[in-house]
Amino acid sequence: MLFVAGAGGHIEQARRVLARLDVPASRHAAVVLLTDHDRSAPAPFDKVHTIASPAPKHRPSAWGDRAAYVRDCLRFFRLASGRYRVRVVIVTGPGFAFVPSLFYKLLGARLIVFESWSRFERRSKCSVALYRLADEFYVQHEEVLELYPKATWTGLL
Amino acid sequence: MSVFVTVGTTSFDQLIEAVDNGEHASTAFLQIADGDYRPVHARWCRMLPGIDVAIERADIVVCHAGAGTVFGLLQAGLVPIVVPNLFRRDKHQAELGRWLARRRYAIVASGPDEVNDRIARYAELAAACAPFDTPRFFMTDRLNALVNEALPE
Repeated sequence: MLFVAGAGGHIEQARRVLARLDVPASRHAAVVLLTDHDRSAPAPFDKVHTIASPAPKHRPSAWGDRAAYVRDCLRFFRLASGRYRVRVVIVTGPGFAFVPSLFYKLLGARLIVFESWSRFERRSKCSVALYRLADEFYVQHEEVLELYPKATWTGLL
Repeated sequence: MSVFVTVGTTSFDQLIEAVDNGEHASTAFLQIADGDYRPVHARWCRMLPGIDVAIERADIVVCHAGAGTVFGLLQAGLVPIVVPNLFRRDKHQAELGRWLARRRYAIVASGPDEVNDRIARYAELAAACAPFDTPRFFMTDRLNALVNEALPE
Protein backbone atom coordinates (compact mmCIF):
# COMPACT_ATOMS: atom_id res chain seq x y z
CA MET A 1 0.00 0.00 0.00
CA LEU A 2 1.29 3.42 -0.91
CA PHE A 3 0.09 6.61 0.76
CA VAL A 4 0.88 9.91 -0.94
CA ALA A 5 0.61 12.90 1.38
CA GLY A 6 2.23 16.29 1.81
CA ALA A 7 3.26 18.09 4.98
CA GLY A 8 1.17 18.86 8.04
CA GLY A 9 -2.54 18.12 7.73
CA HIS A 10 -2.10 15.93 4.65
CA ILE A 11 -0.02 13.44 6.65
CA GLU A 12 -2.47 13.67 9.55
CA GLN A 13 -5.27 12.62 7.18
CA ALA A 14 -3.13 9.71 5.92
CA ARG A 15 -2.53 8.60 9.53
CA ARG A 16 -6.26 8.66 10.19
CA VAL A 17 -6.99 6.59 7.07
CA LEU A 18 -4.38 4.05 8.09
CA ALA A 19 -5.82 3.85 11.60
CA ARG A 20 -9.15 2.81 10.10
CA LEU A 21 -7.75 0.08 7.88
CA ASP A 22 -8.13 -3.51 8.96
CA VAL A 23 -5.78 -5.48 6.71
CA PRO A 24 -4.05 -8.66 7.91
CA ALA A 25 -0.28 -8.22 7.87
CA SER A 26 0.01 -11.38 5.76
CA ARG A 27 -1.73 -9.59 2.91
CA HIS A 28 0.65 -6.67 2.51
CA ALA A 29 4.41 -6.37 2.56
CA ALA A 30 4.63 -2.74 3.62
CA VAL A 31 2.71 0.46 4.15
CA VAL A 32 4.77 3.14 2.44
CA LEU A 33 4.39 6.89 2.74
CA LEU A 34 5.60 9.13 -0.07
CA THR A 35 5.71 12.71 1.18
CA ASP A 36 7.22 16.08 0.32
CA HIS A 37 8.56 17.71 3.44
CA ASP A 38 7.62 17.44 7.07
CA ARG A 39 9.41 17.88 10.35
CA SER A 40 6.92 15.86 12.34
CA ALA A 41 7.50 12.15 12.89
CA PRO A 42 5.70 10.27 10.11
CA ALA A 43 4.78 7.20 12.21
CA PRO A 44 3.10 4.71 11.89
CA PHE A 45 4.11 3.94 8.28
CA ASP A 46 6.50 1.04 7.68
CA LYS A 47 8.63 3.02 5.26
CA VAL A 48 8.79 6.71 4.42
CA HIS A 49 10.28 8.27 1.30
CA THR A 50 10.62 12.03 1.19
CA ILE A 51 10.44 13.99 -2.02
CA ALA A 52 12.56 16.76 -0.59
CA SER A 53 11.30 19.88 -2.38
CA PRO A 54 9.26 22.13 -0.12
CA ALA A 55 5.58 22.49 -0.98
CA PRO A 56 4.73 25.20 -3.55
CA LYS A 57 3.44 27.66 -0.91
CA HIS A 58 7.01 28.10 0.30
CA ARG A 59 8.61 28.66 -3.06
CA PRO A 60 9.36 32.13 -4.34
CA SER A 61 8.02 31.87 -7.89
CA ALA A 62 5.98 29.86 -10.35
CA TRP A 63 9.20 29.10 -12.27
CA GLY A 64 10.63 27.68 -9.07
CA ASP A 65 7.48 25.57 -8.74
CA ARG A 66 7.88 24.07 -12.20
CA ALA A 67 11.55 23.31 -11.77
CA ALA A 68 10.91 21.75 -8.37
CA TYR A 69 8.05 19.67 -9.75
CA VAL A 70 10.28 18.24 -12.47
CA ARG A 71 12.92 17.42 -9.85
CA ASP A 72 10.26 15.77 -7.68
CA CYS A 73 9.12 13.64 -10.61
CA LEU A 74 12.68 12.54 -11.41
CA ARG A 75 13.21 11.62 -7.76
CA PHE A 76 9.97 9.68 -7.80
CA PHE A 77 10.85 7.68 -10.91
CA ARG A 78 14.27 6.82 -9.46
CA LEU A 79 12.53 5.66 -6.29
CA ALA A 80 9.78 3.77 -8.08
CA SER A 81 11.93 1.84 -10.50
CA GLY A 82 11.43 -1.76 -9.43
CA ARG A 83 11.36 -1.19 -5.68
CA TYR A 84 7.69 -1.81 -4.89
CA ARG A 85 4.79 -3.64 -6.50
CA VAL A 86 2.05 -1.25 -5.42
CA ARG A 87 -1.51 -2.63 -5.29
CA VAL A 88 -3.30 0.25 -3.58
CA VAL A 89 -2.56 3.98 -3.71
CA ILE A 90 -4.28 6.23 -1.17
CA VAL A 91 -3.89 9.97 -1.76
CA THR A 92 -4.64 12.70 0.77
CA GLY A 93 -2.97 15.49 -1.26
CA PRO A 94 -1.33 17.68 -2.41
CA GLY A 95 -0.23 18.43 -5.99
CA PHE A 96 2.77 16.18 -6.42
CA ALA A 97 0.44 13.19 -5.91
CA PHE A 98 -0.62 13.25 -9.55
CA VAL A 99 2.44 11.61 -11.12
CA PRO A 100 2.72 8.71 -8.62
CA SER A 101 -1.04 8.16 -8.88
CA LEU A 102 -1.00 8.01 -12.68
CA PHE A 103 2.11 5.83 -12.72
CA TYR A 104 0.75 3.14 -10.40
CA LYS A 105 -2.76 3.35 -11.84
CA LEU A 106 -1.32 2.49 -15.25
CA LEU A 107 0.43 -0.46 -13.60
CA GLY A 108 -2.91 -1.73 -12.28
CA ALA A 109 -3.08 -0.36 -8.74
CA ARG A 110 -6.39 0.69 -7.18
CA LEU A 111 -6.47 4.44 -6.64
CA ILE A 112 -8.39 5.92 -3.70
CA VAL A 113 -8.33 9.70 -3.38
CA PHE A 114 -9.47 11.84 -0.45
CA GLU A 115 -10.08 15.49 -1.28
CA SER A 116 -8.32 17.48 1.42
CA TRP A 117 -10.47 18.37 4.42
CA SER A 118 -9.45 22.02 4.02
CA ARG A 119 -11.15 22.46 0.63
CA PHE A 120 -14.71 23.82 0.52
CA GLU A 121 -15.06 26.34 -2.30
CA ARG A 122 -12.58 25.63 -5.07
CA ARG A 123 -11.11 22.54 -6.70
CA SER A 124 -7.36 22.28 -7.06
CA LYS A 125 -5.94 21.35 -10.48
CA CYS A 126 -4.53 18.15 -9.01
CA SER A 127 -7.89 17.16 -7.53
CA VAL A 128 -9.67 17.77 -10.85
CA ALA A 129 -7.22 15.41 -12.55
CA LEU A 130 -7.40 12.80 -9.79
CA TYR A 131 -11.20 13.00 -9.74
CA ARG A 132 -11.21 11.60 -13.28
CA LEU A 133 -8.49 9.06 -12.59
CA ALA A 134 -9.52 7.65 -9.21
CA ASP A 135 -11.39 4.39 -8.63
CA GLU A 136 -12.92 6.01 -5.56
CA PHE A 137 -12.96 9.76 -4.89
CA TYR A 138 -13.97 10.80 -1.37
CA VAL A 139 -15.01 14.16 0.04
CA GLN A 140 -15.18 14.76 3.77
CA HIS A 141 -17.74 17.58 3.83
CA GLU A 142 -21.20 17.09 2.35
CA GLU A 143 -21.26 20.53 0.71
CA VAL A 144 -18.14 19.63 -1.31
CA LEU A 145 -20.30 17.23 -3.34
CA GLU A 146 -21.36 20.36 -5.26
CA LEU A 147 -17.79 20.53 -6.60
CA TYR A 148 -17.52 16.77 -7.24
CA PRO A 149 -21.01 15.39 -7.98
CA LYS A 150 -19.81 11.81 -8.55
CA ALA A 151 -17.72 11.68 -5.38
CA THR A 152 -18.64 9.79 -2.23
CA TRP A 153 -19.21 11.69 1.00
CA THR A 154 -17.43 9.92 3.87
CA GLY A 155 -17.61 12.22 6.87
CA LEU A 156 -14.55 13.78 8.48
CA LEU A 157 -11.47 11.63 9.05
CA MET B 1 -5.60 33.03 31.93
CA SER B 2 -3.09 30.92 29.98
CA VAL B 3 -2.93 31.12 26.20
CA PHE B 4 -1.34 28.57 23.87
CA VAL B 5 -0.66 29.58 20.28
CA THR B 6 0.17 27.02 17.60
CA VAL B 7 0.97 27.59 13.92
CA GLY B 8 1.49 23.95 12.92
CA THR B 9 4.34 23.28 10.52
CA THR B 10 4.31 26.62 8.66
CA SER B 11 5.57 29.92 10.09
CA PHE B 12 3.10 32.71 10.84
CA ASP B 13 5.27 35.50 12.26
CA GLN B 14 2.53 38.12 12.17
CA LEU B 15 0.35 36.11 14.57
CA ILE B 16 3.25 35.28 16.89
CA GLU B 17 4.36 38.92 17.00
CA ALA B 18 0.83 40.15 17.72
CA VAL B 19 0.40 37.85 20.74
CA ASP B 20 3.96 38.46 21.94
CA ASN B 21 3.30 42.20 22.00
CA GLY B 22 -0.22 41.93 23.40
CA GLU B 23 -1.52 42.16 26.96
CA HIS B 24 -1.61 38.36 27.39
CA ALA B 25 2.04 37.72 26.47
CA SER B 26 3.15 37.03 30.04
CA THR B 27 0.85 34.00 30.28
CA ALA B 28 1.24 32.87 26.67
CA PHE B 29 3.20 29.95 25.23
CA LEU B 30 3.92 30.18 21.50
CA GLN B 31 4.77 27.39 19.04
CA ILE B 32 6.37 29.25 16.13
CA ALA B 33 7.57 26.53 13.64
CA ASP B 34 10.33 27.96 11.42
CA GLY B 35 9.32 31.59 11.93
CA ASP B 36 11.90 34.39 11.82
CA TYR B 37 10.35 36.44 14.64
CA ARG B 38 11.68 35.33 18.03
CA PRO B 39 9.29 36.24 20.84
CA VAL B 40 10.69 38.46 23.59
CA HIS B 41 7.81 38.56 26.11
CA ALA B 42 6.17 35.14 25.90
CA ARG B 43 7.63 31.64 26.31
CA TRP B 44 8.06 29.89 22.98
CA CYS B 45 9.28 26.82 21.11
CA ARG B 46 9.63 25.90 17.46
CA MET B 47 7.93 22.49 17.42
CA LEU B 48 6.30 20.69 20.32
CA PRO B 49 6.13 16.87 20.27
CA GLY B 50 3.81 16.81 23.30
CA ILE B 51 1.46 19.42 21.96
CA ASP B 52 -1.59 17.73 23.53
CA VAL B 53 -0.26 18.53 27.01
CA ALA B 54 0.14 22.23 26.16
CA ILE B 55 -3.38 22.28 24.77
CA GLU B 56 -4.80 20.60 27.87
CA ARG B 57 -3.07 23.08 30.17
CA ALA B 58 -4.21 26.18 28.27
CA ASP B 59 -7.38 28.11 29.00
CA ILE B 60 -7.43 29.42 25.44
CA VAL B 61 -5.94 27.92 22.28
CA VAL B 62 -5.14 30.20 19.34
CA CYS B 63 -4.21 28.56 16.03
CA HIS B 64 -3.73 29.13 12.33
CA ALA B 65 -6.49 27.81 10.06
CA GLY B 66 -4.63 24.62 9.22
CA ALA B 67 -7.26 21.91 8.98
CA GLY B 68 -5.27 19.29 10.91
CA THR B 69 -4.87 21.62 13.86
CA VAL B 70 -8.41 23.00 13.75
CA PHE B 71 -10.25 19.69 13.37
CA GLY B 72 -8.12 18.10 16.09
CA LEU B 73 -9.15 20.86 18.51
CA LEU B 74 -12.83 20.80 17.52
CA GLN B 75 -13.01 17.00 17.77
CA ALA B 76 -11.54 17.31 21.27
CA GLY B 77 -14.46 19.54 22.19
CA LEU B 78 -12.49 22.80 22.35
CA VAL B 79 -13.41 26.19 20.90
CA PRO B 80 -10.22 27.66 19.43
CA ILE B 81 -9.54 31.17 18.23
CA VAL B 82 -8.65 30.62 14.56
CA VAL B 83 -6.59 33.10 12.55
CA PRO B 84 -6.28 32.23 8.84
CA ASN B 85 -2.74 32.68 7.57
CA LEU B 86 -3.25 34.84 4.48
CA PHE B 87 0.46 35.64 4.22
CA ARG B 88 1.10 32.30 2.50
CA ARG B 89 1.21 32.05 -1.29
CA ASP B 90 -1.85 29.84 -1.33
CA LYS B 91 -4.89 31.30 0.41
CA HIS B 92 -6.85 28.16 1.17
CA GLN B 93 -6.85 28.82 4.92
CA ALA B 94 -9.39 31.54 4.14
CA GLU B 95 -11.81 28.82 2.94
CA LEU B 96 -11.68 27.00 6.25
CA GLY B 97 -11.97 30.30 8.13
CA ARG B 98 -15.16 31.21 6.27
CA TRP B 99 -16.62 27.73 6.82
CA LEU B 100 -15.90 27.85 10.55
CA ALA B 101 -17.40 31.33 10.88
CA ARG B 102 -20.50 30.37 8.90
CA ARG B 103 -21.12 27.35 11.12
CA ARG B 104 -19.99 29.14 14.32
CA TYR B 105 -17.72 26.24 15.28
CA ALA B 106 -14.87 28.52 16.34
CA ILE B 107 -13.97 32.14 17.02
CA VAL B 108 -12.48 33.38 13.76
CA ALA B 109 -10.30 36.48 13.55
CA SER B 110 -9.81 38.02 10.13
CA GLY B 111 -6.15 38.75 10.87
CA PRO B 112 -3.46 38.90 13.56
CA ASP B 113 -4.45 42.49 14.45
CA GLU B 114 -7.71 41.14 15.92
CA VAL B 115 -6.29 38.31 17.98
CA ASN B 116 -5.74 40.16 21.27
CA ASP B 117 -9.29 41.49 21.19
CA ARG B 118 -10.60 37.93 20.62
CA ILE B 119 -8.53 36.63 23.55
CA ALA B 120 -9.87 39.38 25.83
CA ARG B 121 -13.47 38.60 24.82
CA TYR B 122 -13.04 34.82 24.71
CA ALA B 123 -15.70 33.82 27.26
CA GLU B 124 -18.40 35.93 25.61
CA LEU B 125 -17.50 34.80 22.07
CA ALA B 126 -17.08 31.10 22.94
CA ALA B 127 -20.53 31.06 24.53
CA ALA B 128 -22.01 32.06 21.17
CA CYS B 129 -20.34 29.18 19.30
CA ALA B 130 -22.14 26.03 18.19
CA PRO B 131 -21.19 22.43 19.08
CA PHE B 132 -19.00 20.73 16.48
CA ASP B 133 -21.46 18.33 14.87
CA THR B 134 -19.79 17.39 11.58
CA PRO B 135 -20.17 13.61 11.08
CA ARG B 136 -17.07 11.49 11.65
CA PHE B 137 -15.86 9.10 8.97
CA PHE B 138 -18.58 6.50 8.34
CA MET B 139 -17.18 4.59 5.33
CA THR B 140 -14.76 2.32 7.17
CA ASP B 141 -16.34 -0.93 5.92
CA ARG B 142 -16.37 0.20 2.29
CA LEU B 143 -12.78 1.45 2.48
CA ASN B 144 -11.59 -1.83 3.99
CA ALA B 145 -13.43 -3.87 1.36
CA LEU B 146 -11.82 -1.88 -1.46
CA VAL B 147 -8.33 -2.20 -0.03
CA ASN B 148 -8.61 -5.89 0.83
CA GLU B 149 -9.97 -6.73 -2.63
CA ALA B 150 -6.95 -5.11 -4.24
CA LEU B 151 -4.29 -6.82 -2.11
CA PRO B 152 -3.02 -10.30 -3.02
CA GLU B 153 -4.18 -13.36 -1.03
